[in-house]
Order: sequence, then structure tokens, then C-alpha cells
Amino acid sequence: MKKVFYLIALVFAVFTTSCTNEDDNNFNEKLVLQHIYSVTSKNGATTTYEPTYFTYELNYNNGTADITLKDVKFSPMMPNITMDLKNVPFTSSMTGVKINATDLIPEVGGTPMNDYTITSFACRIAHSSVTNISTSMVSFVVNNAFTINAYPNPSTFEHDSNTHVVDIVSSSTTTDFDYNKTKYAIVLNQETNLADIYLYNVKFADGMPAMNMIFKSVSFTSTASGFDFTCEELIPCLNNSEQTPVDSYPIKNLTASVSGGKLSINFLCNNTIANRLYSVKSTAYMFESDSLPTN
Amino acid sequence: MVCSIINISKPIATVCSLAIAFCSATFAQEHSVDTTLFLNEITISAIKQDVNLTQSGTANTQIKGRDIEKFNIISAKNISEIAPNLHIPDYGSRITSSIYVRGMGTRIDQPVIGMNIDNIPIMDKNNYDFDIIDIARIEILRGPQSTLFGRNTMGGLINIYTLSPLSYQGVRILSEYASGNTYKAAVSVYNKFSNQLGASLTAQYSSTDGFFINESNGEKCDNERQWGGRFKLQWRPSRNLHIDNTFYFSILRQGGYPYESATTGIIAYNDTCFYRRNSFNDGLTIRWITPHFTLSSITSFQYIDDNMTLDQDFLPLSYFTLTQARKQSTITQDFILKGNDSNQYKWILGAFGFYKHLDMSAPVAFKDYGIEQLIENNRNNAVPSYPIYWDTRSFLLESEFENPNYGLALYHQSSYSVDRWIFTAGLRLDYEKTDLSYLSQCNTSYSTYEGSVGPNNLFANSPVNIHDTGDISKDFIQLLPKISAIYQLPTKNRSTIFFSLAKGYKAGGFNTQMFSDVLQQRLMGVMGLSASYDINQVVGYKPEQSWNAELGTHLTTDNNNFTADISAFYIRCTDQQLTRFPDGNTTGRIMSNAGKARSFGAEISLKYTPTQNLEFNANYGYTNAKFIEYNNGQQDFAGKQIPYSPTNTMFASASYKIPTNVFWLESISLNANVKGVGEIYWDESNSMSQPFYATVGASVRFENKDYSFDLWTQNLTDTDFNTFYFVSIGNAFLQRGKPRIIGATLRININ
Repeated sequence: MKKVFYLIALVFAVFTTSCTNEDDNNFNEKLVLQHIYSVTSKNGATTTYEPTYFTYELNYNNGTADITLKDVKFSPMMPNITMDLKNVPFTSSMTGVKINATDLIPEVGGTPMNDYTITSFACRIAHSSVTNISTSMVSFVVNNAFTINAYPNPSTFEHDSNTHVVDIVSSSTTTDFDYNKTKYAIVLNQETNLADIYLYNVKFADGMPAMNMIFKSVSFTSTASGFDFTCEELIPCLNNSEQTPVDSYPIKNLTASVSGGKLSINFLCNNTIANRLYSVKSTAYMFESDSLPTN
Repeated sequence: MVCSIINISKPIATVCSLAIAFCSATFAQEHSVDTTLFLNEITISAIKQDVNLTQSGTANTQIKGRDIEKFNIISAKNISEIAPNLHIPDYGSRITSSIYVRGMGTRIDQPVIGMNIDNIPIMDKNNYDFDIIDIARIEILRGPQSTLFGRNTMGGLINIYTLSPLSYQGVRILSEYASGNTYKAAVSVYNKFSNQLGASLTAQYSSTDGFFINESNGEKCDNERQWGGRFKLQWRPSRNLHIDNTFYFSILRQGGYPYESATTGIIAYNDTCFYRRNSFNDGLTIRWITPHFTLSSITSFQYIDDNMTLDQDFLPLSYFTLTQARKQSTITQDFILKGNDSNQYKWILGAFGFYKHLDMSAPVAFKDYGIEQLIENNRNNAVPSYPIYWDTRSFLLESEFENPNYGLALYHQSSYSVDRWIFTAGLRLDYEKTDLSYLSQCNTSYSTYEGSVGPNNLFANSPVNIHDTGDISKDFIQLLPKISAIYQLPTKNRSTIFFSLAKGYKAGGFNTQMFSDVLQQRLMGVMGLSASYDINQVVGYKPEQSWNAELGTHLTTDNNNFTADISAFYIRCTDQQLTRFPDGNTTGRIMSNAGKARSFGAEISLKYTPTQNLEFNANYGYTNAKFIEYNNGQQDFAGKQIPYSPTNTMFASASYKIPTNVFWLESISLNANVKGVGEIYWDESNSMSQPFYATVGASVRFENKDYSFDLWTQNLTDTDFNTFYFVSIGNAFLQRGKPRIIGATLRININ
């Protein structure tokens, strides 16, 4: 009996020792994500700068993150600097990582830059099922003078999607169709100021097969909180290797905006097969439930 | 004489010769099949559960020797409705062992009821349905048996015991012929070499042409041939040590699935359908019996190699075919320590483990018409100005799986008797892990044309090369408690009243049948069309859990000529597993979880033997099983009846034995019976159903101690009924029940 007792005690000791081994509990994650960022000055002027990379080193043990903003500037006259934000607290849940901090003093090359005070720092990081990589969005204010909004490129909008279609059967008859499975991705080309908008699982009527389409070469401009898109007319194409034109569903009067992690997109679609005109209004969010607060 | 009359296959003839040689040893005193000595041997074989089920806290049905022969029970499907609220429909093939009990059950994957053969657990439901010769006794325990028997016994347990060579010695020969050109032959040899050592050898063969014609080729489609055998060794090296080993194998070759169109009433499909299975099991049971405890070990190795190939559209059109080829090995080990002291406290302590390894290949072959209708038209209707055309008129969606699965469990049960009460409590800790490694691939190509399909209009040629691999893992941990209270009434035969509360559990798993659909969705995605459902939601399914409360009684009159078993139950189920066909033009079946369901009902079994030669049996089961919460995202099914499980089951039988005064004919026995089942809803929305129906059976038996000759019929009135309904790619199908069957069975016992 004694031997059994000692054996149990030994097993218990080994078990508890292995459980308290701190090395086994260390969990860090490092993400390097490309962003397009725009800076809005106090006078309301918005400038979009070259894409850059933000690095997030997340320590899930103590809930702090080290963030590096590589080669950023806040005015055209300012040189690019790489800023480090150390030990920024964050929370994590099933919907991803959230960072909300204020009064941060960045470091440049290890030296605190007391001339810069970052307030209203808000960041969200989550996994995108569309691109199958992490996506993040950041906004913050520098010296109460410059408001920065940084979006990933591509930006994906895959949560809480809602598409409302008014099927204009005739001048006096319409039917409504609601669909909530569409997801979006937007790829911006800053050199041409043209964007490709990818629509996944898009559908305008019950009998229509859901398709993956691309709205190519849509003009965009930067705004204080994101981007605006317009296009008078375009022929979408299928999102396949040959990008087959879908001329049975030409698009007209497209307008869209991205602000605070929310995409709003409206357009008319002429179904030439069934001779129907659809008025499509759709929204979707980059992150689950809440959108990122805007500054 | 039998061999000369009927054209027996060579293997059986050879076995007959061997039997004569094997039986050269002196036989012990002859025993008929259902002597008290024989029954005692069988009841002692029950290792974990209560030895005397008529005084247990479980609703149960027991079917013994003569009744097994009387009702022609040779496989699990034959006991359908004989036990109340137990429905085992006969459809599809022998891979289909869909068992429904008290509102619970599924068509594929995890069963709701476990099966033991000579105490060996059969770990794969696909191997439940095979013919077993010389069944001595069947026990159907209803209600969760999860505390002692673990996973997949949340609806109950079927125990099958075969004849013991230590109880019976001789040669038994069976020969049967019935409608559908159905033929069965078996020979069994039982020998007792000494008081401590006995062995038996069984060989069997059966074949049938079937009953249903495939109009596409004019041939019967539900044909079957089956070979099987069993070798049983029972050794008692000492009074305290019992060693039993049973090895059995089964070889099955079966035709396809007699599904008829619900619209035309015709079975007509043009592609191959068959089910082929080779399996063998070996089970070793060792018991060491001491005055204070019995230590038992039950070890088994089970192997199954099967191939199910279907014309999955069941139409005379070349849509697609499905193959599911599996090789699976399973090892189980159960250690049981049971107290033998005949005092107020009884206990059992056990540890169980298993390891199962499955390799499966499940390709779906898309054919010309399927490519045109399901892929090309779907795509070209959306983009008609750039039509596509497949480069080859058939291609494969290939899926390969490796699925190791293991589990460990510890369990304990204690019973305490005080006055007329027996209080029992038990608990099982059950852990299971299942991993799935998959490879899904598709290599094909299509061409896109501008305007119309033609060599001068080629817009693009697109190869499709999909190669997806992955590993998924799930594990489940469950605590499975049970309590019961039994009160022994102050009667001579100790009738009882019992109450029990127990938790049941059915393991979760992976929807391997959906991987071909996932691959098809990937293919559509490559073309620019979207998935019709969320792929992440179809890969796996969660365990199902239930709580079962039951109140019942086992009553026996003092003169033993009347028994009644009555029970009422209430079951609450979470994450009930349901088999359904997903939306759209898909090829597989999916196991999904409904939110919550509940079932309540009652069962009654009566047996009355007014004289030695007259016996009446009657069983009735009622189940009201409905969804409490179940919304599949498109429709809310709360309040609907759970599909495929019948509301009512009934069985009644009357037997009368007429002794004769002829030396070569001791008696003539007459039996008439009726089985009824229904209403059965075929879908979650309860839009289609099979009303209640009944089938009548009868038999006349001529027998003496050395032989019996039965003339029998099943479904005497040729009742039309359906055993299965489903919808596939928008087409509805039914399987009809078997028509009237007339047969004759000759049994010879050479002692």
C-alpha cells in the first residue's frame, strides 16, 4: 500500500512540476502586415503615402504588444522614420486582437521621441478567411495635429454582410431580395489610383447562381477616414484564371466608400439574360461585430 | 439425404465430410437447444450486466432458442419490432445498419445502439449486419448503457450469444429455400473433448437472386451471396479459470440498391451498384473466478475490408458514381473486476481501451450527363456569351483518408441492497481522440469559348489541378453517470419496479462523404462560381448526448405463465446527429447536429402461456420524438417529428403445439404473427411519411428430437410499404419493402 501511495505522489509531483514550467506557457506571435496609410492634417487636407509595413509582436502571456511603424511620415516635408511603440496593452478574443491606448511616446532607434505624442491609438487584428492571412487596421492621432488611418492592402470585408437588391421588374413593380453571404476584397493601386474590387459569393436574385466576380479598375480617392470609389460603367469578370467577362451582368453607377472598417457599395446591374434591372446596396465589415472607431 | 436433394456448394460438402471426422469422439449426453443447463451457461456468459435481466433496472427484451428459429432470426435486422420501439429497416445493403430506438438513430456513421457478440463489442456499424448461425439468445437492452459499455450505446445494447459447445454437442445441419430463389445452407459441429474443453465449427452459405428488377438492364438488382464461418473454443483449465475464444469471418457479395423513383415507381439506373465486404473478428475472453471477485479480460481484433460502389444518381443517366473502399483494423481491450461476495454490496470496476485505424478511398466519378447538367449548364446559364465545355467527358474527384481513432475509459458501478430495495450508481470517464488526414485532388480541364462552342472560338483553355491535403483532429471527453433504484415486490418470482436515470453519448466524427462535395465546390470556385454552403460547417459533427429517465416494471405471476414488462421513458437530447443531403446538386450525405430534441413514450411486452403448448406474445412501443430547437439556417424545424424513427411499433404472436403419437413426428407447431410500424416521417419538415403498416407471418413446424421442418411465410398479405425515402440532386427515391416470401427450412440435429 505504501508503495502505491508513493508512486501516486511521485506521479502527482511530476505532473504539477511540468504544469508550472514557465517555458511551456510562453506564447508570442509576430505579424508583419502591409498597410496603405493616409494622413489628415488639421486643415483637413488628406495625403496618402507609400505603402509600408507595420510589425506587431504580441505577447499573449502578459497582454502587451511591441508595434513597429516602418518608414512613416506625417507631412510631405517630414523624412520617413521608423517608430516603435513598446509594451502597448491589448486584449484578445475569438474575434481577434484589439488595441486601444493613448499618450504613447514612440521610440526611434531606441530613443524616446518626446516631440511626438500619440493619442487615440486604435488597432484591430484578425484572421481573414478570404485571403487566409491576418489583416489589421490602425488609426491614431499625432500631437493632436495629424490623424492617421492605415488600411491593409488588400482590405477584406467579410463580416456582417448585408446585400439588399431591388429587382425592378417594371416601372411599377419591384421585388426585394436580401442576401448576406457576400464578401469583399479591395486591392488598391496608388500609382494609378485604380482599385480592383473582388466580390465573393455575389447574388442578385434567388435563381441566380452565386458567383465570384471582379470589378476591375475602379477609380478611388483618399478621404479623412478611408477611401471613396466611383465608376460609371464596367463589365465584371469571373474570378478565375481566364477572367471571363460576365457581359450578361453589366454594372452602372457604382459608388462605394470605406470608412472605419466598413464598406458600403451601391450600383445598378442589368441582367441581360432575364432583362431585369437590379439596384444593389451592400455593406460589410472588416472585423466581426464592431467597426474600428474613426478619428 | 439433404445433400442429395439440394445442390450444395462444394465448400459445404467438404465441411460435411470434415464434420463427420470431427465428431468421431464420443458425445456427451445429448441436450436440446433450450434446456435449463444450456440457458445457465449463457446467462453466466454475461460479464458486465445483471445476470437476471428480468429483475434488472433496464427495459429489455430477450429472445431465446426456439423463438429465434420460429421467427427465422439470423441477423440483427430480423429483430426489428420484436422488441418494442426498436426499428431496424431493411434497405440499401448490408452496410446500412440504421437502427432507431425510442426516437434516436442515424443512417450513417455512429450508431445509437451497440452490439456485442459473445461479449465482444462490434466497433463498426457497417459490420452489424451479417448472418449468424446457431444464435442461442438475444438480449435487447433499451435505454443508455453508456456507463458500462461506453460510446454509441446511448439507445441501448444488443447482446447476441451463440451456442456453446460445452452445453450442446452434436452436428446441426440447416437447409432452407425461399422466394427470390433464396437458398441457405449451414453445418455446425459441436464437440466436447473433455469436461474442460469444447470446440465448435460452423460453416454457412446463402444466396438470393433478390426481388426487385432494375429496368435499365432487366436484371434483379438486390442479389446477394454470402459465406461465413465460426470457430469457437471453450476451455476450463481449472474450476476458476475460463478461457473462450471465438473467431468468425464473413464474405459478402451483394448487388445494388433497389431505389425506385418516387415519381415513376421504377427502379432504373445504368451504372454499377454493389457492396462487397470481407471481415473477420477474433475475441478472447478470459475469466479468473475467485470467491471474492472475478477478473475478466475481453480482447478483440476486428478487420473489415469493404467496397460500396453506387450509381449515386440512381437514374438511367450518367451523372456520377461514388465508391467508398475501406480497410479498417480495430483492437479492443476491456478489463473488468467484479465483486462476487453475496452480501448487500456489489460492485464492478473496469477499464476499456480501443484503437481503430481506417484507410479509405472515396472517389466520385463525374460522367458525361453530370458534367453537362451540374457543371456546364450551371456555369453557362450565368455567362452564356462565354460558354465552357469540358475537355474530357468524365473525370474523378479523388479523396483519400487516414483516420486513426482511439479511446480510453474507466468505469465503476456499485449496487447496495437493503430490504427489498437495490440502489445502483455508476460512473464512466470516457476519452476519445480521432484524427483525419485527407487528400482531395482533381486533375481535369475545360475550355471557354467566345459566343458558341467551336474550334474557332476558343477564348481560353483552363487546366484544373487541385491538390488539397490537411489534418484535422477532434477529441471528446465525457462523464457518463447512471443511477437506478429497484424495488422487489413481495411475490414468489420477485417481480420488480425500477427507476433509472442515465446519460448517453454518441461520438462525434468527420463527414468524410462530404469531402467530394468540398472538392466539387473548389472546382466550381476555380471556374468562378461560389460554394453553395459553408465548407467549414460540414467537415465534422459534434457528439450527441442524452439524458434518459425511465420508470418500469418486470412482472411475473407466481405460476410463471404470465409476464409483463412495462416502461415509460423521457429522453432529452442535445446536438442530435441527423443524416441529411445538403442543399444543391451535391454528391454526399452529411451528418449534422440539431440543437435539441426530446422523446417520450412507453413500451409494453406481454407473454402468456396458459398451457405448455400454447403461447401468446405481444409487444407495443410508442414514441413521441420531436425537435425542440433545430434551425438549419433556412428553415426552423422546432416542433417537428424526428425523421426515420417510427411513432409506433407492435408485434404479436400466437403459437400452438400439437403433440402427435407418431414416433417420427413428435409434434406439429403452428405460429401466426404480425409486425407493425409507423408512422415514419421521411424528412425534418414532416412533408412526406410512411403511414402505419403491418405485415403478417405464419409458420407450420413438423418436428421430433432429431429434426424440424418449417413451412413459413413473411408478409403473407403482400403488404406494400416503403422502408426508406430520400432526395438526391432534386430527385426523390423510395425503397419498397420486400413482397410476400414463402419458404421451407429443414434443420437436422445429430447428437
